[in-house]
Amino acid sequence: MINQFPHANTLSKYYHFDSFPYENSYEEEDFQNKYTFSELQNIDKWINGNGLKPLCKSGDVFYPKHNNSVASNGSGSGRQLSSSSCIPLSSGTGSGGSSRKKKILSSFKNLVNLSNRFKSQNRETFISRLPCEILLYIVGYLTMSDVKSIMLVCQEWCQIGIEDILWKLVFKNHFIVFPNRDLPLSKSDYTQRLSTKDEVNNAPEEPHWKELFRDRWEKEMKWRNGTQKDSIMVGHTGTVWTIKTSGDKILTGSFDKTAKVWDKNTKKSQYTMIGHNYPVQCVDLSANEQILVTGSLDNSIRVWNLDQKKCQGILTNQAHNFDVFCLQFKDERYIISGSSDSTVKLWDLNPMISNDINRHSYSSTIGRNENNIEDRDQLMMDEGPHIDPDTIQFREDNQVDQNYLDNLQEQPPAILFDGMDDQDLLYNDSDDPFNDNINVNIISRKPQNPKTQINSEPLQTFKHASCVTCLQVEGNQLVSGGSDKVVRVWDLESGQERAILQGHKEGIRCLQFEGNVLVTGANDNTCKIWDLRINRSIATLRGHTGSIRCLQMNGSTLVTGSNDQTIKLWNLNHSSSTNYQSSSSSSKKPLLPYQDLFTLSSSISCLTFDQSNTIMYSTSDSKVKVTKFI
Amino acid sequence: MTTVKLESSDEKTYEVEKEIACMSVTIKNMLEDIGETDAAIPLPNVTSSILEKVLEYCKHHHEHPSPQQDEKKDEKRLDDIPPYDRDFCKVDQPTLFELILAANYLDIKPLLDVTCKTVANMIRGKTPEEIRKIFNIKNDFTPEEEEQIRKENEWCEDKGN
Repeated sequence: MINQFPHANTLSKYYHFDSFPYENSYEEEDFQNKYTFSELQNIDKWINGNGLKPLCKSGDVFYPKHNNSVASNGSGSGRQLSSSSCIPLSSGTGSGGSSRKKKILSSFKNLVNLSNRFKSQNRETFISRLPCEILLYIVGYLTMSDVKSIMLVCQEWCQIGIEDILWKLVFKNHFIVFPNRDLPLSKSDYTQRLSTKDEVNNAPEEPHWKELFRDRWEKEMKWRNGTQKDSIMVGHTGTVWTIKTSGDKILTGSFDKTAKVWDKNTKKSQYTMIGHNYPVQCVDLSANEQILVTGSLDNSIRVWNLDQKKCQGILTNQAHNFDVFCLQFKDERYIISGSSDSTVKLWDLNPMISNDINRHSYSSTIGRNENNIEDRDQLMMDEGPHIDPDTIQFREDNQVDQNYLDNLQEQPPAILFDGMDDQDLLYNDSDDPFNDNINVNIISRKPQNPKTQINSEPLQTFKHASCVTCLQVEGNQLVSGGSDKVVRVWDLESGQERAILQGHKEGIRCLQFEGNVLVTGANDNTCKIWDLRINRSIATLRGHTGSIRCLQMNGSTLVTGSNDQTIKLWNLNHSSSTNYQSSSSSSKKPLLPYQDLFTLSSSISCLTFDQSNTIMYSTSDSKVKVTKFI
Repeated sequence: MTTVKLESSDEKTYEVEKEIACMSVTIKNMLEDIGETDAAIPLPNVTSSILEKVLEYCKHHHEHPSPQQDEKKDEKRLDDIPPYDRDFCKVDQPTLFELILAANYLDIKPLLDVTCKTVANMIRGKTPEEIRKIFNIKNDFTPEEEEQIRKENEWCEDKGN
């Protein structure tokens, strides 16, 4: 090493006379103590390998003692240097004094960046000159199959494939759709990680990205190649228009004017809601799984309490002037509904839920929803004296309920109750559907006037130019789509319209957003992906030959159902796979942008799928088909 | 217009506009630390031929700033390399890798990105044998080792194609 820096001695003298603030810290021995021999060799090799001279012909031996702080905090130490304003007195060689320090610092910075974790014995090829952090950076652009190829190139590259951080990048590339995808880790991220990984064992646990990736990958493969296991949910007597999963429950709304709640595991009907005068177009369940809301073509929204098995109230026919097409709960207390009267309305259910005898629900929700504890506390105080006994009663009630459900599950599989068979569980407006044998508690708490008609005004009204067909709310952001061919993004609190997304040529039928990614399906037979940060469409999915009726997205997986009688599966990251063709001459085919999951004999009215590769969908024949890919 | 002097490892000095030089975060930090100086900034890790290329790149992008969309772009796309950059990267492998090293050292992210993407495109979709050929890498696996790695990674076979 010393040989390589012939001027080392003279220069250390030079620095000795300079007012360099770190003069005492820079010692030759120190440097050598800091690095193992192999590391030095490595640095050596790196320098020479680049066809560079030794770092510079002067000053090389001055390596900072506290190399970490210099490396990670270059500007900080830099400030120290300049504050000492140590431009040397001697001119000539001296003019480089300050910058030489920089030079040392910067060269050093680079040396520290070098990772020595991989042996570099055969660095005769050009690419092997790259430090492994850069190799990782390059590989981070690639897909999983490329990573696999890379691991088979040579021993050294095989090591790269073991890096978990790489799999994190591959995971993001593969499963996270672009606008949500984080920017690639910055350089400092991974150098830091590489350098601290060995030293700091008590760092917060990162997930095992390779395993995560493998899990998701195998699920994705099942969609494409899995064998199908089918079952059918029978019960409705008319076309099922909407299906939603919520926890371990499945919600459906049908043309037969009823809504049903099903057990997700047994696929059996648990509750049937009867009362609407026209088909049920939309349903949603509160997060605590107690309150179900249904919207119907009879212009009304009904609120059902599953625990008490009754209709808790109706947002009257004046709620909307026309069909209620879509609705969603927000924070267990509010609902947002969209209608063909061109409006989206925000409602507060609290008067309805609290006027009724429902403190039990509140006592039970307190634990579950901490956001609204204050409000609830207020309510609890109003009803103070009764809390304790009622809570107990509620639990009993719940227990009986569970027993009843258990009984239900003993029913023969596949054939589920139709409306008549589970009459004992029906809700209706006259509120007398309960089987007295089942639950005395319920009967005893039968409210005076269950059919609470609420004429209250909506808290907010958002206006479209035409029928509102779909909406989703997340936090403070409301996104709604309608027959006016545009998607509107609203600020829920202020009621302001944040953006209008134009692009579809026909009315929007369905939408879903996750973070910054919005997917819409429309009557123009296409789906569009939008970047909600810039409010622009970034991709159009073509393939269906009929209106898109329903869709669901999860990560990079999108499933769409259409009037063309097909259900298609899309890989939303396909855009990055298609350039396989353009950018390389390889024989590898691009991933299919979509594949047909099912081709059926009538229009798809609704669908939903879950993490376990189970898709539930309905056509116009009143049955819900459940297919699991295994 | 202020200029700064940069000195390559083979002691050639280049006078460039400060703004252009400051596209390198490394140089920018150095200048901030040093303050005004007439002295040439030594870049001991960059040869003159590479430094010329780097400066050419910086100059072009200084004169043709890319649209203000940088953070909105999908960083993981490999097909979005602008034409100038694509041509810029049409160089032999040694030059390309030295450019990467220089971009890394000088901390010029756009240049690092585009050069790394170029290499990624060289790898993309290739078989291990093809990759070895492209980069002149020796296969140092025993057949048994190769088989084992293949086996361990069988799960990620894309049967969909």
